[in-house]
Amino acid sequence: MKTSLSMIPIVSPPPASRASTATAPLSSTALASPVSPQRPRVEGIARVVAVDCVDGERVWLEPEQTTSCGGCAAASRCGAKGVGTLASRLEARRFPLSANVASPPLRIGERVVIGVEERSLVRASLTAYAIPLLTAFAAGGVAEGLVGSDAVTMFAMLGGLGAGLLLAGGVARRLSARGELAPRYLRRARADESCSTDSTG
Amino acid sequence: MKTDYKTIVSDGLWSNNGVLSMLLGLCPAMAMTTSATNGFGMGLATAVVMAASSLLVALFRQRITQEIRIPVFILIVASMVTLVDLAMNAWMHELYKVLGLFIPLIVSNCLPLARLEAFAAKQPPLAALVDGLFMGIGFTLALTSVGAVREILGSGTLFADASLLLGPAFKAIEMRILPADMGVLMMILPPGGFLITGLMVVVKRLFDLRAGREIQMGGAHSAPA
Amino acid sequence: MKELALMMVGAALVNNVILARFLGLCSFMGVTTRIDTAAGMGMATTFVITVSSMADWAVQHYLLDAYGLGFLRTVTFILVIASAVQFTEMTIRKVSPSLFQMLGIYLPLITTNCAVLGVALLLVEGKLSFLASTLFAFASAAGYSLVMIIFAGLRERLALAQVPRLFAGPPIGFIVASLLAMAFMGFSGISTG
Repeated sequence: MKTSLSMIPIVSPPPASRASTATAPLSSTALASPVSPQRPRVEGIARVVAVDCVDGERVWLEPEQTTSCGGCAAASRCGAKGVGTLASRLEARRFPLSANVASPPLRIGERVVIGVEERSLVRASLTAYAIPLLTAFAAGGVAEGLVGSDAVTMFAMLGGLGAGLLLAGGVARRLSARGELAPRYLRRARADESCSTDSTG
Repeated sequence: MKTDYKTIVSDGLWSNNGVLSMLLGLCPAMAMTTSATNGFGMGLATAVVMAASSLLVALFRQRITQEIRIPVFILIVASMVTLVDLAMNAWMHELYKVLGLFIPLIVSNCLPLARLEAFAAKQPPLAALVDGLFMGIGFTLALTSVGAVREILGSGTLFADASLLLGPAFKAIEMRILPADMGVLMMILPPGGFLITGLMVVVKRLFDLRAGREIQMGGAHSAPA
Repeated sequence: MKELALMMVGAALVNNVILARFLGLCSFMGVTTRIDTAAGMGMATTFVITVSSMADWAVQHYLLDAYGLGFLRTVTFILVIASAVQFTEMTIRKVSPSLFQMLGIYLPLITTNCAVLGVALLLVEGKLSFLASTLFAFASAAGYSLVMIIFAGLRERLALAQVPRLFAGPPIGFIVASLLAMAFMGFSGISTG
């Protein structure tokens, strides 16, 4: 084993990108966004599926599917896309991008990188997931204290969940009125680029 | 179309090994490898499920349309898992108690589904059966070897309790490699699972390098940065 | 109340879903190197685990136990989880399309992995009351999210390290995870009664 070890070039020559980042200060924001200099952004890749012909001002994008396995490359081989995932769901996720931010004209089939501010992503997931859970547990706790029967607690929690989802809808409307939920066009995607939330990996 | 069984077998056992190359099915590969016997039992259960569901999927591959294929695959795997679960409860109760939660969890193991989609859905039944079987055996080998390393380092034994878990016929393979007080407890605790699995992947890469093959970087990390 | 709190600490830290029970490793190893994405993903998973454990409790209690159908547990839970997931996804979409779109770009909106099924199956063994079982599921999922976020942070640093080629990628990830698991074993001193 020893001899074979010595024969192998164990340390690979550092790729150019790594060498450049290695000298940079160890700050996560410097790592996070090689593109936008001002604010940390989260990036995602989407494909142009339609261009609005009437006014030519809006393009429709479809996000590339991400799964719990993180990298899309691995996702295709992973059971994570199994349970409760259908290709048709992607269609439901289409979203418009106004042309004033999509500077160059985009054609159907092109892949683009889009981004939102870092804080918006956490804020949006807090809105969508944390608010309903909080209200559900609050309702469940109250019901358990008052009645103490499993069935009642269950319906109270369901009610709480529903109320929380409605509340989350309200909060989301405020966020979206401030423009926090709208993704922005950043650049065209490279051909080999996969779901680039992993862009530093 | 001629099916190349030799490639299927070598893919399953080594070059596409579920755990060590593709890094699929990691949950049981770490949870159930505290001893070689546990790893072997877990691998065997998975192999049976994989072979049976591959065969079923291949038999019905013309009837399973593209839209419903994933739910159908999951249901087929889930039914096979239920069968294995019941059978083990009846005939290998001791092993059943050890594996516990991880038998039903074969359903959400990435490996069977990945093989069904990548192979069984497109191939004739016999080839699919062979593929499922040897992928399963490859999985078993990986689990048994990780389990063996962890067991030897952790408690100094090899295949301990095999007669209890697998049947009296396996009494002969129970071994003590190191004296009882030499074990490093850490190895059979969770950290050892991560460590040994990581090192096993490295060992497989070493072998592949010596054989002049390309190293598979494998898993989610392989995406170009 | 005290028992409930201790149980939650036990589920989140002592018997951490990833580091002690080895559930959800696929998403753990494949997690992005970004802390914020990991946080978002953790929240999504927490939501799914909690909601589907509620549904699974109801099915287990009013269907499987009531009619002695325990052997159908695996198949039923898979279906229940899938439908609970679809249902919540549809609800979020109805309630706020813009939120749905935004999350859909960056996160696997609703994630299902073996942690979801694993926690549901663990709960069956526990035979807890509805609220307790939902809290247990929530705490387990919170522990999962915590480890995901910590690991994403570690990988942010790891991306800058010069790793030997043989260890690059998954192996070094496993070794880091091993150290993390060692750290989490410190929690096992907490008595959870």
